[in-house]
Amino acid sequence: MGNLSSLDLKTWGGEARLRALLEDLAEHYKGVYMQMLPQRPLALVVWFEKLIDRPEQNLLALFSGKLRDEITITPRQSLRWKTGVEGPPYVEVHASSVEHFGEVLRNQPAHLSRYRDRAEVLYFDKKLLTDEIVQFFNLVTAPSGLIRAWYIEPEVYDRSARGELNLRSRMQGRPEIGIVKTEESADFSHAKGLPQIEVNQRWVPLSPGALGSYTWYNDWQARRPGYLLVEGGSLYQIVKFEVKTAPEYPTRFQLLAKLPDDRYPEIYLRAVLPTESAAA
Amino acid sequence: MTDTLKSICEQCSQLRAPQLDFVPAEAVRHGEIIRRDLNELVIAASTELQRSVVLLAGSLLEAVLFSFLSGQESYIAAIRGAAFVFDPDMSLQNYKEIFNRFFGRAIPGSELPDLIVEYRDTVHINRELALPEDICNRASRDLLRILDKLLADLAGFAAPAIE
Repeated sequence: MGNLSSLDLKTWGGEARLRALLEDLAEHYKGVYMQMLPQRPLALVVWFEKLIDRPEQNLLALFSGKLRDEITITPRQSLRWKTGVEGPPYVEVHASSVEHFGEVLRNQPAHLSRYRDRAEVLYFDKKLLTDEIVQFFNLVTAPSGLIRAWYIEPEVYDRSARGELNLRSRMQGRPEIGIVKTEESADFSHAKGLPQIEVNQRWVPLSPGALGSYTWYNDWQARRPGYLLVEGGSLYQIVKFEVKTAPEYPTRFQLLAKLPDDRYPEIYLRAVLPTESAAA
Repeated sequence: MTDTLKSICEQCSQLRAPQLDFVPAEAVRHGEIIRRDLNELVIAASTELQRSVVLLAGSLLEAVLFSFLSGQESYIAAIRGAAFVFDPDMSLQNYKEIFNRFFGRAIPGSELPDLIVEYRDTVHINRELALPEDICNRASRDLLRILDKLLADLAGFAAPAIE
């Protein structure tokens, strides 16, 4: 019970309420800009210089598209705007474009340091952000070793081996699966790894119970193992799946989420050599 | 050969006999719409109509999340620590984000992949043109299974009491 008694519920509750109010404002911006100015969708919202005891909070909002080349600071507004109440807590919004913010970041990064001070990212759309901004706010959307891949059904592989289609055309669109390798043979011919899926723009480990939703797993279960075409063009055949209890995996492989029961499916892969696919 | 849509459908018990207890009692029409579309989905799958399956399954994912989330305002408000008002004018993208955020942990393994929005968005020709030629083949299979799992997850879900 020591943990419970030391929990500062008042602070936690205050922070949760403030975050919810700020998120509501972000939702409003999202709606306003997506509907009225579709060419300027909201790209990022950061709650910075976070001090929950203060009556005034700070929000940075970056929009895609062309805006004035400055960071505009709006007059403070009540966070209870939805209910028509004009009282604390207040928020001051610093708004700019991704383009302008990125330019300042390249040329005068020191001017932006306050936006990283006690900062929490409340919303982002990584398609609209530059790599520099993603790094500046330490927006981690994938484990460092993640390899993105597209599934190739056995019959599609056969067609490509016959020269009827180019497998690279399958790379259009969002990757269907991510792999974080846990082991690889010395000659790189075999590997195993943790399947990941993209959930709310972050690659997280897939639980054993969710495997059944995906064609690549069902095809393997039906003894029709397919292939994974990974970024860069290498091809792997799916050999098997196993579920392992491994509480150390999230830390060891820097996964972005921990599965509740520490059971992680592992996918076993065999590298398909270019000569092999040509001869098939 | 990859599984046929018909055989996938036969394995998906929730598509054929859905338990819609998660639909709020007062939302009778929501339930009727979901049942109607599920019936049509099963017919489309039985006749291997990939495109129809993609469109119907995408629409059903939205209908199911819409109906479920609209009945969970108090639960979400308790988790957030502040009021939550369901916005019926949002999109599948938004409903998916809300669902993953507030129910992804409460219902282990239920998180919905971002891929479903890309699949559903093939309703627009420009989106489909940007994807591989046989996108409907893949999308129809994945969407059937994902929808079935979502229905199963929601059928077994009772919001935990929050003090």
